[in-house]
Amino acid sequence: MAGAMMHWFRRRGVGLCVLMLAALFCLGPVLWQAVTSIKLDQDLVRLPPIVPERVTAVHYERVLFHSSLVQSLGNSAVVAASATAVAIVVGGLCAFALARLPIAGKPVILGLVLATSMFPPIAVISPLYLLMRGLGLRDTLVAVGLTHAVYALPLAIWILTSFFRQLPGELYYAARVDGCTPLQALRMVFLPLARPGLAVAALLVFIFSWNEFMFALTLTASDSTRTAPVAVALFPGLYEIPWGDIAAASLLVTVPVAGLAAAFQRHIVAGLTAGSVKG
Amino acid sequence: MAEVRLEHLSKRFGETTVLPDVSLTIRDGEFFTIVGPSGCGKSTLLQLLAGLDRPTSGRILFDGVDVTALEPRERDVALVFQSYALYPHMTVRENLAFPLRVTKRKAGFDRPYIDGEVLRVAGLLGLEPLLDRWPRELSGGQRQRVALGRALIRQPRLFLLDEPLSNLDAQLRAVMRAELRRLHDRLGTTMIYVTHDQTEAMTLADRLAVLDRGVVQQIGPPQALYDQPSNLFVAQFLGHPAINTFEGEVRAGRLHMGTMELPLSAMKGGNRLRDGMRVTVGIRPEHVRVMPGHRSDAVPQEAVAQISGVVRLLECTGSQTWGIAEVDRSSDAIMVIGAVPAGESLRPGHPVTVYFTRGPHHLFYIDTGMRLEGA
Repeated sequence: MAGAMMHWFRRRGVGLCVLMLAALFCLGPVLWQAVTSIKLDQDLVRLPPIVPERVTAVHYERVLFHSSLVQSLGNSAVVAASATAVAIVVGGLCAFALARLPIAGKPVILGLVLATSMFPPIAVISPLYLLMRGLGLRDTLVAVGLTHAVYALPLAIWILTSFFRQLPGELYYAARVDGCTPLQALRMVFLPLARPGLAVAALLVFIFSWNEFMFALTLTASDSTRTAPVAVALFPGLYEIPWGDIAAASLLVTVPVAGLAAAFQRHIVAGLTAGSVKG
Repeated sequence: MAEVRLEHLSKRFGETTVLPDVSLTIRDGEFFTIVGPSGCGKSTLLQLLAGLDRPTSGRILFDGVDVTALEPRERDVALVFQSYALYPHMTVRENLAFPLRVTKRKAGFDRPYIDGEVLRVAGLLGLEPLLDRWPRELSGGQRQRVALGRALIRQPRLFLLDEPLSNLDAQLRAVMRAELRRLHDRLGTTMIYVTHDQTEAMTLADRLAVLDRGVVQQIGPPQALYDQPSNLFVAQFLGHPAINTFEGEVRAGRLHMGTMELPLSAMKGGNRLRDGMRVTVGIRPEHVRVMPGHRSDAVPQEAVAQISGVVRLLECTGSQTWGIAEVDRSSDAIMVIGAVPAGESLRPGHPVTVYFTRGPHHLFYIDTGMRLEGA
């Protein structure tokens, strides 16, 4: 009996322990935020108790009804959704061309695409700000969305290129001989088959845009255009830092992305191409 | 329906030349087979015909019209792939309808017409019970049929088939082969069939082209190529078991090959040989008998030469047993493959006598491998 348990522990237990430690490490701060968000103001700076004796919803009430957070969440949604749409459409076309069309110098192009994503945001932020101001887009959602789309594009291109390359080349040829233009082949054959790849790319772009802080901070100047991370960062007042409000707002900002990731996870399943070619 | 003409077609990928210069004409309504070992350029040729790739130089003409610069969808050809290339996210019905659906706007096909055509093609290939299945739920043979159906539905003027049967097991392959041939005879559409399998090529084709390293070696009806191979490659590529080839030298009216010798009179064109000439002779296995022991009573009537040896391997095909005998033990062993007459029982290691019968043995120049002219 004991031997069997030792055996089980050796096989599964060690891995389990490592996983639990990793989860605790990653989720610990979130957990702490959750606890903070329901503490009374006077308990916030005291320890113990770790687990509060009295809980309150006053922080949630404040951020939801007496701040601009809801508006910022709306802005974030618009920015992230449009950035995702642009990145996926442009990235999809680009990736399809790189994966299937006869173009010279593909590795060079892919390398250059990757290189653009290596500039640290801080290096491009001043010219970007001047550019947006010159275009008259300063303090608009368009500026933020566009910037996010451009910055996420290399990621989208790389993910989608590798997904398109995994699809059998003969499917493309078959579609072409069956009467498709290259664009029809993309729309009718490749896109449906690359759905898992599209989901992954879209999810990553969306999360990137939702969480992005520096561009959003620089390019916006008013409540009507601020995205959620910027809004949360601007909570601290002149004389006090409202820790409880920040914690509540952070959780509210995190929930949509976490939910999205969970929902998409079911779509990110391979095996859609089974049966197409001899397996 | 179309006559296909290739004029000095060449294809290079960077530094490698896949097709140096191909010119051939495929007649309207013909079942034409292109056969060759892997890497001989036959798939490239098919891609050029389908318009999936552009030739480096040369022209492709359908019925005398230059189509070299046309897109695949403008050429009105259908292509069946070795891997079937069915669309995995579509049912059999949707796969069949796809070519019509794509060209719908251009050709003015409406829904009822497409549905009708799907049923027609499904009926032709026995696919009716499978129409609502997914490709992953089908067996290899069924997938192959769907792929064929998808090619048929548009009634193209040219069918291209790229080793369509090589993923099937042997039995199914024979069935599908017959079915393909019947389909062709019924539709009368020009078909170009690419394969590495010489049996398939021989049994299916009206005419076939043997391709090696991008060069057409010979074109003609299967029997003509078998009987009159224009060079050593064609002789060795066609026929199973493969032809015996020996290098020899003419001395005093006989061709000497190691310790074997044949009278020149046994060879087609043997009268053109002069003393001192060195040639390669090709002898089909069906013109060789491998008989047990040294029985003088059983010498085949038509035998023109004989040599003793030891049988090393027996290949039984059911109706015919082939014996592979080692005949020359003086230097490098020479292997000869020949027919073992029915009723003879042989085991590897048994002493045998190998008889060469009078047959149209083929003579080739030893340096170029070309057939001896007039032979």
